[in-house]
Amino acid sequence: MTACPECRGAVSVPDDVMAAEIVVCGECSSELEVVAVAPTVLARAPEVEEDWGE
Amino acid sequence: MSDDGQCAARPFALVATRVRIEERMLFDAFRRRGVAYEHVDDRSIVYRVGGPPPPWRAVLNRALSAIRRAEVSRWCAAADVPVVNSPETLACCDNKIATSLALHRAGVPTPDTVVALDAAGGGRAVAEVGYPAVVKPVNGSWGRALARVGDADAAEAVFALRAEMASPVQKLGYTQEFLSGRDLRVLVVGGRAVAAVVREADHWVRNTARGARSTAHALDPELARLAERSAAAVGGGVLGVDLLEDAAGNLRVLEVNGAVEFHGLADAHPDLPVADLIVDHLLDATTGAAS
Repeated sequence: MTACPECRGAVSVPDDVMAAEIVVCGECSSELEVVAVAPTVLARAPEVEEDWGE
Repeated sequence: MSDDGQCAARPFALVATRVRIEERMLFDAFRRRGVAYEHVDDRSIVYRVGGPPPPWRAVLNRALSAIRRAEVSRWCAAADVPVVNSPETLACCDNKIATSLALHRAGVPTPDTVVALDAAGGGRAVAEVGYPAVVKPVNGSWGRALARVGDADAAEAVFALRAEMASPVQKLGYTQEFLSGRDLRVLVVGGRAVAAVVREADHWVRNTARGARSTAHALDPELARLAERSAAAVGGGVLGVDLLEDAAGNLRVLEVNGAVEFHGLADAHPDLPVADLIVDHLLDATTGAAS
């Protein structure tokens, strides 16, 4: 479990999580970006920008 | 070690802002091929012009930002590092006006399209297309900021809002006739159409990113040829060609995606190794076999 940077709630992170994946806090529904692994560090995911997409 | 030997020792790079389902599938495909690879977050790249080249054997560029995506491919191409997609392809796909012009030049059928170079001319562009029309952002994606405009009042409202936007790109008016029909996507890899899906939704905007459901669709020769011609028109590579099929079976190409998301298509075609085909295309690029 890792603390949500938004609400301090406990976020469940898969064992094989990779940097740059997105996880969602089950308590506050914030989208969180995995910015580091071993140990896992979470940050608020950036908002979608105007030029993002496929 | 020779230059060739040094090159072969470098890992492949998957440049991605986010590791999504598609990137996971691609990492697995790299592993299955037994080649060295690494994930590179495009936001982390800093390079000196004239300095060392990109330290990778070839690059699969899936940056989320169209601006950074273009810069990644520009840097690689300038250093002769194979990159998918090329900067030329991305420049064409990441601007809907450029895409429309390229498709038209190649004789690919598209919806009637009128461009206004300022929001002030947007109403005139919509009137020329006829009602209902669709107003799209030139560089948008995921179905964001689309508007279906039913009359002159609605057109005036849409372009009044666009005129107030800070981004000069948003002041451009890209308008198309609104057509009903089935929304198809064809994945083209290295010049070959490999699979198609139908995208269905309750809303007229049927992007998977907005929750549209993808189901397998037969890739008949006409559909495959049109998708392949569309891909060639924008420069080729790994591309998602979006088409509309009307009730009479006529096909028109809506857009070509240069950083294609394919998890819906992969789910609809569970026996098709989509990620493997893409990685093989990248590996071919290092031998000059890619197109």
